[in-house]
Amino acid sequence: MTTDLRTKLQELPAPEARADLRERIRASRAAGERVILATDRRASRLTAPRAIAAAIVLTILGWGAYSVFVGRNRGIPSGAAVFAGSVLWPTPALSQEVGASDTVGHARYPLLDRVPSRALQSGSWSYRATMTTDGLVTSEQGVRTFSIAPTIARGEPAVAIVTTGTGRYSPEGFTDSLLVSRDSLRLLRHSKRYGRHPGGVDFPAAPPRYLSWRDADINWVGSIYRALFQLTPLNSSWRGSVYVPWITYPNRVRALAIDLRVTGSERVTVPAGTYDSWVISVRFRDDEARVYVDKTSGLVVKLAMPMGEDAVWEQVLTGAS
Amino acid sequence: MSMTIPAVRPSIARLADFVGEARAGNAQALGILYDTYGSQLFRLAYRLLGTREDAEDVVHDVFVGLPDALAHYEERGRLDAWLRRVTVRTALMRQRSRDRRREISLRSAAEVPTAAGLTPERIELQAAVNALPVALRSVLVLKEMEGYSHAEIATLLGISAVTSRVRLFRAMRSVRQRLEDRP
Repeated sequence: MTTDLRTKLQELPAPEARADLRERIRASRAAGERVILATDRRASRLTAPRAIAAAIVLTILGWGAYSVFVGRNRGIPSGAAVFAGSVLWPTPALSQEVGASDTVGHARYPLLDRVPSRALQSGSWSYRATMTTDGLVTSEQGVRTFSIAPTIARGEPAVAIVTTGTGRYSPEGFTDSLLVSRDSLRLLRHSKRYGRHPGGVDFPAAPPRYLSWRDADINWVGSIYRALFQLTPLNSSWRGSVYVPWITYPNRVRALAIDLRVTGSERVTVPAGTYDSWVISVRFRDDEARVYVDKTSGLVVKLAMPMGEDAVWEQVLTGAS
Repeated sequence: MSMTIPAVRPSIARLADFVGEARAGNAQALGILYDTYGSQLFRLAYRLLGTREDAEDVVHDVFVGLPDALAHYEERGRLDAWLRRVTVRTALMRQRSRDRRREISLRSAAEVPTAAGLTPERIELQAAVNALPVALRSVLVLKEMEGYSHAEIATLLGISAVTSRVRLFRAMRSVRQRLEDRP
């Protein structure tokens, strides 16, 4: 009977994925969406004596590291404290709920857990996205329109921060929007739509710790930067770090630091004009992206992110209204 | 620009090229990997999660994250086996996330696929599998439908091999009881 049941289980049919799934994947990639998957790295094979020796060494090292590491991270604020302040940037705010034992490495700079209380400037800006391979071949990756507009949400004054676009692989377009409280900048809702696939997460006023963890979104380009740098006064020595969730195993989410710092200033020419800009280095694990921010308005005029070893994905400002 | 889709399944050697290109973020190579493995990974995710929408979201996430994840693929094992492990992990994460949000769907227990070849007997069997608690269903699907060993399941689920055996026993017993108790 068991064999019979096994056979029947194996013969159970499954439906096919919808035909537009392939297109949806392309659109997400083209939009710069990133997903960090839980992969397995094979441990090197150790013989028994070596394993025992390694365990002893690791125990000693671990004890020392624990003492140092935990001590260094005691300053991470609690989730409640972070949420009480300005939480325009949801992911790092949520990540800072973790304790030291969940944190991989540690931030190099002071945590950006508060955004200065300044009003976001309303308007609409457009960007052109390209991918350049080997420094020679440039392919168009569509356009992005970024807008900031006042609105009302949950009965209170709010600001809608919306990035819409079309891409080479997303003819139906996509939308990534943040709805934040006008006064506190606390995130109320983050929603995304790719083609006909809407999705969004509402952030309650007092989020349960673990609910917010899983729903946090690793989205560290686009809307977040454009809004953050409008609000953050930069100077030649500005630097700050945030933590983002890093999924290392199905039941394990840890926090990883992103370190941002002004590395210099540069006069940047883009289709919308020429801007005296701060150059900001954004380091995430082994990757480094650069964000160019107009010194006067705080507007992001250019984003440049390496995609693999030979390609660079860029967005440049083409116009404003 | 339209993407060139190979008329036949790429050879293993050619796939290795595609892996390298996909790792560098080449959309065309990623599309070819999707064409080659997307269906089987979707079926795997569907069996674990029980709904088409969730399975599609898992496959979406797997392929969107694949260029970065391929940095950890050491090319010592078979690519399809590695992809299946990644898919299982992603599906299980989604399952846990769904549980945490208490979105266990009312639909999940009742939903049966609309695929061709569903006889009334198969519909009841599918419903019995879908009605299992997640912990039992995961083991049942991985062992009996996907052919993983208890040791592999133990690693994937973070449990012991003994626990995997116990869960399988309970899952099979539950499915049998449900089938026998039907009106």
